[in-house]
Amino acid sequence: MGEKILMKGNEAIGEAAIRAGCRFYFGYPITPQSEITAYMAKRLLKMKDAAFVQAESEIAAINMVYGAIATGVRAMTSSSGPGISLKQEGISYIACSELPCVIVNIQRGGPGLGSIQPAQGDYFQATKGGGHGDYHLIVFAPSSVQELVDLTMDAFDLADKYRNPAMILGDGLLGQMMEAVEFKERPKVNLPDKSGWTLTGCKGRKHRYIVPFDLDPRVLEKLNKVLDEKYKRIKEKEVRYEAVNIENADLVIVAYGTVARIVKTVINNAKKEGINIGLIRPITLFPFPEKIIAETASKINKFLVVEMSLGQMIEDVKLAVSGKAEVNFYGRTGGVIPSPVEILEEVKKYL
Amino acid sequence: MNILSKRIKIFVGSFGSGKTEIAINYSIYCRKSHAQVAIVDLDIVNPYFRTREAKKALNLKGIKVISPEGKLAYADLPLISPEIKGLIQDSDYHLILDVGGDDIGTVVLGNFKSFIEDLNYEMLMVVNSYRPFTQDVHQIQQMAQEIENSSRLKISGIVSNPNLSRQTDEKVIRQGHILIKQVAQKLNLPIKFICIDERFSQKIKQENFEEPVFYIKRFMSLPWN
Repeated sequence: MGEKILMKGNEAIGEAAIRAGCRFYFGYPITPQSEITAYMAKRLLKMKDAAFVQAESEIAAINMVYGAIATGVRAMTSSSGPGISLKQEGISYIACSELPCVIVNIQRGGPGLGSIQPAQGDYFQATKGGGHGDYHLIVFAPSSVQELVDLTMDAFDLADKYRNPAMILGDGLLGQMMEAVEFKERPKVNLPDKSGWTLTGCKGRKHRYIVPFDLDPRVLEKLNKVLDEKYKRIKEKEVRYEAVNIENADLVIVAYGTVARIVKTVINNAKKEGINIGLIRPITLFPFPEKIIAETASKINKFLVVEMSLGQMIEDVKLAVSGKAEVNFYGRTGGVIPSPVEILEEVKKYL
Repeated sequence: MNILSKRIKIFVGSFGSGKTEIAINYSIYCRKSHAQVAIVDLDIVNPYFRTREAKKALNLKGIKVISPEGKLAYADLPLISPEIKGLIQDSDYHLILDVGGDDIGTVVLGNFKSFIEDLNYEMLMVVNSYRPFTQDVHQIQQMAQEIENSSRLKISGIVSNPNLSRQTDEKVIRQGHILIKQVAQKLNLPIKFICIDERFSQKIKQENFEEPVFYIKRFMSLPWN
């Protein structure tokens, strides 16, 4: 391997999942992510010991994932906003059952049926649980087609490592755009053995079961605490971010995904005008890179959060900044992508 | 270079092979020698990066663009304008059909088969050998077969479009083109032209190739470029 190939973001997610050992995909098409479903159909239907099911609904699809992963295999589902909302019950069940899987959300304009253009309005849903109860997903925010590949593979590993569902939070532009990608040889990672909990038939051993509940509130509280401990470990160990030009910046922008990519152009354009902009790009949205933001806030006193929403990630930025710097916001929504020119105009307002 | 022969030119090919950019560039090229040129956005599978996004630029050049209008331009609906049939039959018009990808995107052509088949048309398959599912001779042959089956029209030529988008270099073009030539030979089809990004126009010249070189300007842009 190592050869370059020109892929759409959505296709790249599909191929990355397959190379990560995912042989089970259950989904229901929705723009702008349908190419993931189409790609998995094309590839998995030709593979041995694999299954592709176009489910009757998103609710069915996530529950098929739930069933598959209970046996220890790697499985994935994908959708866009409206479909991800339908999957929330199942996602919460999977989190409660401590099972690993990957869920992809290629965001589009919302709320409601919204539009089919790119957006980032599902940040709260992705990072704050999304379904009912106290739980979190591990959430990755790729910013290029290559990162869709790398982070999809990492998502499977981290899901297994923590026995927790992981989410790839992209947007329609990342899903639809084409870039050259490479499937590199990955270093072998040591992942926990699954044989202690998988449902594989109880011949020769005591039967076991996986359920998303406990009737005894004290036992359920204990489970919640176990989950909480796990999230703390994830927060401690799995934070990822990219920092660009943050030393001595006049202002630091915090942005993820497509917007971060646009901001890199803004940084270059601003330089020509003598303006020094820095960028902190969260690569994991949960766990959120609060430490680097807090450290930066003690040196740089102006922040601008740019999102394709009316302000969601800004809440996490404000918590991290904790009043030490001024935090401003610029957002476009409904499927409108902010241009480099308008972001630079916005930056100038605060200098 | 003369790559203009038939009045109706249909661009088909695998999903993401480059049909839209080529159809747009080709319509501009065609407009230089013909007064009445129309391009039809027949993409019923892609939600973004469609011919309609270049509509303004094309209209300014005097090219008629047929695509869903108003709010429907943003939809992912299989909308087919009744105007298309009229243009197919209007012998004054040079018509370029930009069809959606794979056999699925080509299905729409079946609708026009009975109008098109007796006319002066050619159907060109765009091939980029760096795309999934068209990476070797066998895969490309299969793609050609599937497209012919679903369109119920015959492919009459190949457009060679070997590229890795912004990571393209001369070697990528050369190696990809060699493979595409092998496919053309196997399919017994001519390569009508090879597409090369205009940024190579000083470096990669016509004399390097037997086939006509067609320099492409990109119209589908990304927000950070």
